[in-house]
This record gives sequence, structure tokens and C-alpha cells, in this order.
Amino acid sequence: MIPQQRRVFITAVGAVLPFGREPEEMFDRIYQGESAIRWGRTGTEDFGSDVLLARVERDVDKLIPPRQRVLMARVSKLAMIAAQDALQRAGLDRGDPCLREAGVYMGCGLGGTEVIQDGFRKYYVKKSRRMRPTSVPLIMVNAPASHITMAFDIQGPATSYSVACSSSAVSIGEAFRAIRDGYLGLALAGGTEAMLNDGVVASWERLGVLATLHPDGDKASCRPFDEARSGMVLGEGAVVLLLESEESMAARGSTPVAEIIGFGTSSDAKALTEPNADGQARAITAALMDADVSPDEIGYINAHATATVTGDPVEIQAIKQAFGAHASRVAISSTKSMHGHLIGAAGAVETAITALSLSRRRIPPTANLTNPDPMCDLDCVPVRGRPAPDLDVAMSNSFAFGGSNATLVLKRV
Amino acid sequence: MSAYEIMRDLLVEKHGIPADAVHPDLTTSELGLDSLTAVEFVFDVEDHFDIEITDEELGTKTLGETATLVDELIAADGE
Repeated sequence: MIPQQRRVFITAVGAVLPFGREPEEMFDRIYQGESAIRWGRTGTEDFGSDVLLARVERDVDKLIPPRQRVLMARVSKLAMIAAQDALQRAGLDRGDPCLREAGVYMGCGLGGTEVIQDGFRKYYVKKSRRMRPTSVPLIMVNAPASHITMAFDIQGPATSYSVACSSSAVSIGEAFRAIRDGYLGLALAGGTEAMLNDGVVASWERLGVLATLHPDGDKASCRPFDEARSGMVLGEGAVVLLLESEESMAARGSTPVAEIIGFGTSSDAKALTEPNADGQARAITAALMDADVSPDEIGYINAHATATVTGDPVEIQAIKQAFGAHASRVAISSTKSMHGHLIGAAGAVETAITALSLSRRRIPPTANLTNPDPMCDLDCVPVRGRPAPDLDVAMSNSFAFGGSNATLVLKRV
Repeated sequence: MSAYEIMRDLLVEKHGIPADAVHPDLTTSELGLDSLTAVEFVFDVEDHFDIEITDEELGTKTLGETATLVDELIAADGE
């Protein structure tokens, strides 16, 4: 028997990002077009890379009790802080019966990257086979979700999704489905990523997709949809959303930030890194159908647009294919121009921004979009954010390496 | 600093054990470290002193006994 579908709401946002502490502060800064991207060095003075990065500057170790963090890689620490933050905002703590029955859905691309790097350095450079005995449980991609279950005694499903740049759009989408279909009343869903180590960053550099330093400085260097765009900027951080059914929300008296109404996925089935407009359009259309809304009801799209030369026009083409005549009327922005590309946490950050955009009725800009590429000829909200008094429904796109596409549709409450 | 003092500081700073709870007569298990955390602790000790402690050598030694073992291993290494 298929149970009656339940409505699903985002009732709290927890975050640890290159921006300030509060999600609302993050939104305000992004709305103002402020960039967290900085020029910096990875590795050591004599051997490392000079690159553009959006780093978390907070001392994350101070925010987690020592006994919890001793078996955590940075990726788990970031996830834990975001989860703590979301639960604190929701007034939930360990021991609460509804938390015990909840689920944890986390997205993550690479896991405990610094532990892999340190271990291999010891193995190959120091010629020691005595690896850190906790390497495997520190590195594994599902460690962040597991740590959250242990810290808060959450005994429902803890599932991790590793879908590159779509990881946390998928984790939120799957949590949304689990609540909508009646399997859960409450879930923590989001993503985490911490890969700004010298070895990983050097690998990204060799892929040829990272932005170069713009003559106007580091903050001007990530330029989605702009003719002078040169690539993406890697970021790190974690966002955890508290998702609740309408019934859970009523029982707890929680206040919604926004409602999730649709989730669509697709695979390009074409290439490992090259994006494909047909595949992306299928995910967008699937999400619109799932949400039961028509393209002209969407007022804002938080684009995947990473600012690579290849990627941005493909997404514009996908939006044109899926939206038809309405494509030229919908506001589209890429906030990656300011917070960078958080890979496994990207979908979660951008879903949070989309939710706050709906609740504030404000559309954040695409920073640095001063000279739009003719191939990106839609309304990409250049430079300045704008009030949107009629904004009711919005979309967040996440399109991953591997050709895995995921789109979420959110509604103002 | 002696091996014992290094181990005590590691337990306090990395593992959050109160300084006054650490005592040479206690094992890591008695200090509340689970098995995985205990191997992490021993690994850090090995790494710090650049020595190798086998599982047979470690057994269920107290902190004081482990410190003595560490001193012996360092001395043996220097010979």
C-alpha cells in the first residue's frame, strides 16, 4: 500500500562555511555580493600550490568535545558542527524521542582526505608500513553521518551519498522522499567536504578546471556566466538541514524556513567530466513534475554554474530546454561566485541559500558578472541581488562529474 | 619531559581526560578509552618517539608500565 504523501519542511539550517557563523549572516553577505574566496597556499612554503580557495577559518577543533573529535577527520568535524548548529536552533538535543527515531542523510565527495594524504606520506616518504590504525574509519565517506548518529543517539537510517558535486542535493532529496513517503518524521540532511589539502588541490589543478587569479584580485576571480570566467574555486564546509514532516512540525511547534516540494535526478550516460544539456534538462523536468509545478511558477534558480568555460553555457542550454519560453523570465544566479564550490556540500549550501532566498524574498546575485558571455544570455542576476516580492517557488541545480544530475524544488511557506 | 609526562599530556589534550584523572597505575581502558581510541593513543606515542610497540609488548599494561617500556625501546633504539 502506498501511504498518503506527507509535506516536508526545512525547519532549521546549521552551517560551517567560509562565511560567518550564522546561516542568516551567510545569506546577507552573499546577497550583498561578498566573496569568501582568497588567494592562498596549500602544503608547505617550499612545496605547495598557490591557488584560490574558500576556506573555513574557524578553529573547528574548539567546537567539538575532545572525546568526540579524536576519531574524526576534518570532514566529520565540519559535519558535526553543522549538525550541532541545526539541532541547537531547532531546540533538539540527545535523548529527545523524535531525534532517536530520526534519520541522517549526508552527502560527501571524498571523505577524510588529509588522513589519506598523511598516511601515504608516512608510507612512501618515511618508508613506514605502520599506518595510523584508525585510518580506515577516519577516511570512510560515511563517517560524518555515523558520528552524527553517535553524538545525538539517532537510531534511524544513516545513509551517505557520494555523487561528487550532486552528493548533498541527492542526500536532501532522498531524505525528502523518506519523509514524504512516511518512513520518517524527521531527518538531518546535508553535506560536508574538506579536501583543501595540497595533494587533492594539486590533482584538481591538473584537471584544468580551477580559476586563475583575476587582475582585479582574488574576490573577482570566480566569474560564472562571464566572458572572462576561467574556472571554479574549491571551497570547504558543511551544511545540515533539519527536515520535518508537517505532523512532526505541528507536534514540536517548529517554524518552517521553506518547504521542499520536488526532487528530480538523471544521468547523462555520456562522459565522466563533460556536462550534457539533455541530461541536465531531464533532471530539471523530473523535479518540476515531482513538484507538480509548471516552469512559469519558478521565480529563481540557484544554478550549479561553477564558472568553468565548458559548464556554464551547458546549464543555460538545459534551462532553455526545460523551461521553454519562461527561460528568459526566470532569475538565475550562481552563488558559487562567492562561497566557491563545496563539491559534496555544494547542494546543501545552495539549498539553504535557496530556502533563505524564498523566506526573505530576496534573490542573491552572481558576483563578478560584469560582461556576460553571449552563450549565457538569460537573466543571471549580475553583481547585485534584488528584492523579489512575488517569489514563491525556487529551484536548486546540482550537476556532478560522472553525469549525475539532481534538482530540488522549494516553496515559500 | 619523561615518556609518562608526554603520554599524560596527550591524554589530556587530545583525548579530553581531566589531568587529575590520569595516574600511572591506570590502563587506557580504565580511563574510558574504547579499543579503537586506545590504538590511536598508542600510535601517537609511537609516532612521537619514533618507536614501534608490538601488541605482545603492550598487553594490558598500565600507563606507568607503558612509559617504562617506551623508555626501554628508546634506549634500545639508541644502542
